[in-house]
Amino acid sequence: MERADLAGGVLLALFGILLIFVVIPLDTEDGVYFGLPPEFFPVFLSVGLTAFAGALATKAWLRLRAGVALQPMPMRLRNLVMFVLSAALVIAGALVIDYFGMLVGGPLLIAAFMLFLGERNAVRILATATLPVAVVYLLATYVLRAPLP
Amino acid sequence: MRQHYQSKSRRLTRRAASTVLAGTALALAAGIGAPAMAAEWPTKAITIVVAYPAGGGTDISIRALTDTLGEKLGQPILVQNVGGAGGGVAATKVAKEPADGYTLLATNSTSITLAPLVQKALYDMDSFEHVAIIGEFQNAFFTGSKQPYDSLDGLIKTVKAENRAIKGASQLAIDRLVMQFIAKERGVEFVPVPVSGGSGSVQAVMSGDVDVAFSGGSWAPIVKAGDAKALFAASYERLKLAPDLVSMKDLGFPFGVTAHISLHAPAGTPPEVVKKIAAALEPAVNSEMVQTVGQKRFMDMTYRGGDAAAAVMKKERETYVTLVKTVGMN
Amino acid sequence: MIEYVSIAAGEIFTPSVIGYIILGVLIGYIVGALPGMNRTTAIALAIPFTFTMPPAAALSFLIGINKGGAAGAAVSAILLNVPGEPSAVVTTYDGYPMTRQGKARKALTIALLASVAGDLLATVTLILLAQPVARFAIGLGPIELASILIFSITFIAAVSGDSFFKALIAGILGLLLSAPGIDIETGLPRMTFGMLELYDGIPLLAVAIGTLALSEILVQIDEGWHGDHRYPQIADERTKNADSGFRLPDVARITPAVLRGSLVGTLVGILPGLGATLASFLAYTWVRQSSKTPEAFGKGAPEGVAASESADNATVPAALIPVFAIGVPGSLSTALLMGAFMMHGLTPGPFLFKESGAVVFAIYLGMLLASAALLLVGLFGQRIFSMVIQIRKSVLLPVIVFLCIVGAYMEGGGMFGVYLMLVFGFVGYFMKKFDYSFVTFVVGYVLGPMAELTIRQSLIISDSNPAVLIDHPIAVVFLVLAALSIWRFAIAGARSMQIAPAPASDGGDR
Repeated sequence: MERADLAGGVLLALFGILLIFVVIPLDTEDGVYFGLPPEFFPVFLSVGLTAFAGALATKAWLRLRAGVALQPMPMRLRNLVMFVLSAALVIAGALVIDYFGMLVGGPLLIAAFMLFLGERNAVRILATATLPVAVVYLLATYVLRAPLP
Repeated sequence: MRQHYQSKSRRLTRRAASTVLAGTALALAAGIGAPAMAAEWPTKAITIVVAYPAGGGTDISIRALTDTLGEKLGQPILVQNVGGAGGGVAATKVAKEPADGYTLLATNSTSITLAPLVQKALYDMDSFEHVAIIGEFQNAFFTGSKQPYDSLDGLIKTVKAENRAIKGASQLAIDRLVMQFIAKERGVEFVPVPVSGGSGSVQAVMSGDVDVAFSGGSWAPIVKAGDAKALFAASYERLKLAPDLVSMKDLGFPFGVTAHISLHAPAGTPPEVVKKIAAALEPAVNSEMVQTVGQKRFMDMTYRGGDAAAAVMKKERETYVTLVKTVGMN
Repeated sequence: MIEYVSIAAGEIFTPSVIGYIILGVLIGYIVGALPGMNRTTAIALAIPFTFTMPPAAALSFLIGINKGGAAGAAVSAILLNVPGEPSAVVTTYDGYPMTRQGKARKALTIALLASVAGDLLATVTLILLAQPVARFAIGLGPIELASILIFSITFIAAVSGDSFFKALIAGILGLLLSAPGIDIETGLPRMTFGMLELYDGIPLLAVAIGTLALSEILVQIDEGWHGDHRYPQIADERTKNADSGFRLPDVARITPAVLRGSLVGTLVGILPGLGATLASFLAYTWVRQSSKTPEAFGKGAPEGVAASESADNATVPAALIPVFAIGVPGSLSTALLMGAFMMHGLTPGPFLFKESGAVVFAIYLGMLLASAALLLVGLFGQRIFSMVIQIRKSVLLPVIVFLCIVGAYMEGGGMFGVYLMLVFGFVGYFMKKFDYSFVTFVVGYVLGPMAELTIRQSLIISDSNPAVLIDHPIAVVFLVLAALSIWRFAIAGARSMQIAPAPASDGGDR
C-alpha cells in the first residue's frame, strides 16, 4: 500500500499544482465581485490538496525507507484487468443506449454483463435482460411520464 | 398458416420481392406522409423541458397543467427539469432539438428576452417560436418588517445617511440590472448578495441580513403575514395582483421590467403544430388546478397565445434593450 | 379545536386514504432501496396522480413517499453496500459489515426501528412546536449557516479515523467538485470548459449514483466473484450465529444512539439547505465520539446504524416545519411538497391554520399514520428484501448497473449525466480500493456548494468585517467548535506522521 500511497500522493500533488497554475486560471474569468474572487475557493482547496498529497507521499516514502512492515497492496493485476473489462463493458453499454435507445441497449447491456460474470443459463439471461427493461419502460412512459434514453 | 413446399430458391425470391415491395410502400408513405404528419400530430408523448429545478414557480405551474393539456392533445406530457444559468442551459438544449413539436421549453421569459443581451448565449429570440404566455410574475422588491424604511425613498435616505451601499439579495440578472439602474439614478452604490431562488430571497430578508430583495411572487405570502414589507413593484405599470403597490412609473422611472412564464418550441416548428399546442394550452391554463396554484403562488395566470404571446416577448425585449443600454452593462 | 380533530380523524381513517398512505410509503421505500432512483424525483412524478385525491390524502401520500424513501435507502445500503441515496452512506459503514457477519436481519430491523423512531419524534416536534421552532430557524441567516457548515466539515474530517491524509484529500476533492459552474457573484462561468451542461455545477445526483452505486458494483465484480479472498462472500448461508436476531437487550443498547440521532436530525432538518446527508454524518460522528467503544464502529456496531438512520429519517418531517409555519422550503423535495400544498388549495405559512385548520390536522394524522405504515412496510419488506442477497450476483449486478444508467439519465438530465456517472463510478472504485475514505468525499460534494455560497454571502453581508459576529452569537459558538475540531485535527495529523509500524490489525498479508 505504501508504494501506492507514494505514487498516489505524488500524482495528486502534481494534480493540485496543475489546478492552481493551469486549470483554474484557464477558465475562470474575473468579473465584478464583492466578497471573494471566483478563484479563491478552488485555489484554496487546491493548495490544501497539494499540501496533504505531499504529506501522504512523504509519509509513504519515509516508511518505505525505514523498512517497517508494510500494508498489503490492495490491488493485483487480475483486479485491474477485471476492472478494465467491466469498465469497458459499462461504457459500451452506455454508448449503445445513447445511440440506439434504452430498449435496445438495456437488454444488450444486461445480457453482456451476465455473460461476463459467468452466467450461462440462457433462460435466465433472456428473462433478466428483458424484464427489468420492460418494467422500467412501461412504468416511465405510461405511469410516471418521465423521459427515457 | 398453410405450409408451402416450395424450393428454397423460389422462397428466397418471394421474400426478396415482398421486401422490395414493402420498402417501396414505406418510402412512398413517408414521402406523402410528411405534410400529413402535421394533421396527425401528436403521435407520441410530448416533453416539456422546464428550465428550473423541480418545485419552483414555473415548474409547479407546468406540472399543474399537464393533466388537462395531455387530455386535449391525446398524448402523455412528460416534464423534464434542466436547470442552470437562469434558464440558459434548457434554452440552449431545446433550441437544438428537432422542430417537430415534441419538445417544448417552459421558462421565465427573461431568459430569452434579457439574458442574451447581458451574457454569452448560444441562442436568441429567433431560435424559438413563441407558443404561449402562461402567466406573469409579480415582480417586486421587498424588505424585512423591522427595517426603518418602507419605501424606496426611505431606503435611499437611510443608506445615504449611513454612507454605505445598498445590499440587495439577487437571484438573477434581471434584478441586478434593475437595482443597478435604480442605484445609478439615485446616486447610491449597490452590492448584490447572491441567493438561490425565491426562497433564498425570503430567507435573506427574514434574517435581516439584506436591505432589500427581489422576488417574482414569493414575497406576497410573507408580506401578508406581516413578516416583510413590499417596497415597490418592478414593473412599469402597477401589478395586476397588487394594484396598491407603487410601481416604477409612480417612482418616476422611465421603464420597468416584466417577466412571464413562457412556452416555446424550436424555430421552424410547423405553424399548425404550434397552433394546436397553443389551442390546447388555453383550457389547461384556465383550469382550476392551475388557477389555484397561481393564486397561492401569487402569479397572474392569464393565457396569451400565438400572436399575443409573440407581441409580449417583443415588447419585453425592447424594454430590456433600452434598459441595458442605459445601465451600460454590455 | 376538538372539532378539528374529529373532522380530521373522519377524513383520514377511511380505507381508501389509509390505503393511499400505505401505498405512498411503500413506493417511497422501494424507490429508496433501488440504487439510482431518488425520492425527490418520485415525489415530482407522483404529484399529478394526487390531483384527484382529497388534499389531506394527497399530501399524506406524498409525505409518505418522502418518509419511505429515507428509510428504504438503508436496505440496499445494508445488504449490498450500495446506498440508495447519499444520506445512507453512513449506514453502510456498519450495516454492511453486519451483513457480512450474518446479521443482515438484525441490521435491517435496527435500521427500521431507528428510522421509525426518528420519524415519529420529528413528526411530533412538527405537530407541537412548528411555530416557535420555525421562527427561530428562519432567523438564522447566511452567517450562522456558514459557521455551522464550517464546523460540520471540520468535525467530520477531524474524526475520520484511519488514514488521516487520505481522508482529507478525499474531502478536498469532493469540495472541489462544487467549483465548476456559474460563479454566484460574477455571473460568469467558472471552470466549465465550454460545457454548457456544467453551467449549473456538476450534477450531484449523477456523481452520487456513480460514486455510491457503480463504484461498489465494480468493486464487487472484481473481488467477490472471482474469488479474491480479501472480501469474503456475503454469508447468506451462515445462520446459526447467536447474535443474528434482534432481541430486547438490543433496544436498550441502541436507544441512546436513536435519541441522539433524532435530535441531530430534527435540528439539521429544520435549517434550510443542510440535508439528511449532513444529519446522518453528524449523528454518527457524535455517537461514535461519545461511545465507550469507538473502535467497534465501522465493523458492525448497531449503534452506528441506529444513529445514522434515526437522523436521516428525522430530517423528513423536520424539513416541513419551516414549510408549515412560514412557507419557506429548505430543499428541493420540500419545495415540491410546498407546490403540492398549493395545488391542493392550501397556503403554507402562518395562515395555514387559520385558513385550513381541519385539513392541517388531517395531514398531521396522516403523517402519524405514515410513521406506522413505515413500520409495517419495513417489517414486511425486510423479508422480501433480505432474499435479494440470495440472488446470484450474475443476475443482480447487471440489473443494478442498468438501473444506475437509467437513474442517472432521469436525474442528472440526459446522457451527460450518465457519462459523468460512469467517470465518477471509476473514480469511486479507485478511491475504495486505495482506501481514500470515499465517505469524506461524499460529505465534500454534498456540502461544498452550500458552504461556498453561505461563506461568500456572509462576507458580502458583513463587508468582510469580523465585528459582525457580535450580532450573531450562534455563529460564534460554531466557529469556536470548528476551531476545537481543527485543533484535534492538528494533533491527529502529527500523530499520523509517525513512521512506527502500523498495528497488525488485518492479520498479515493475503
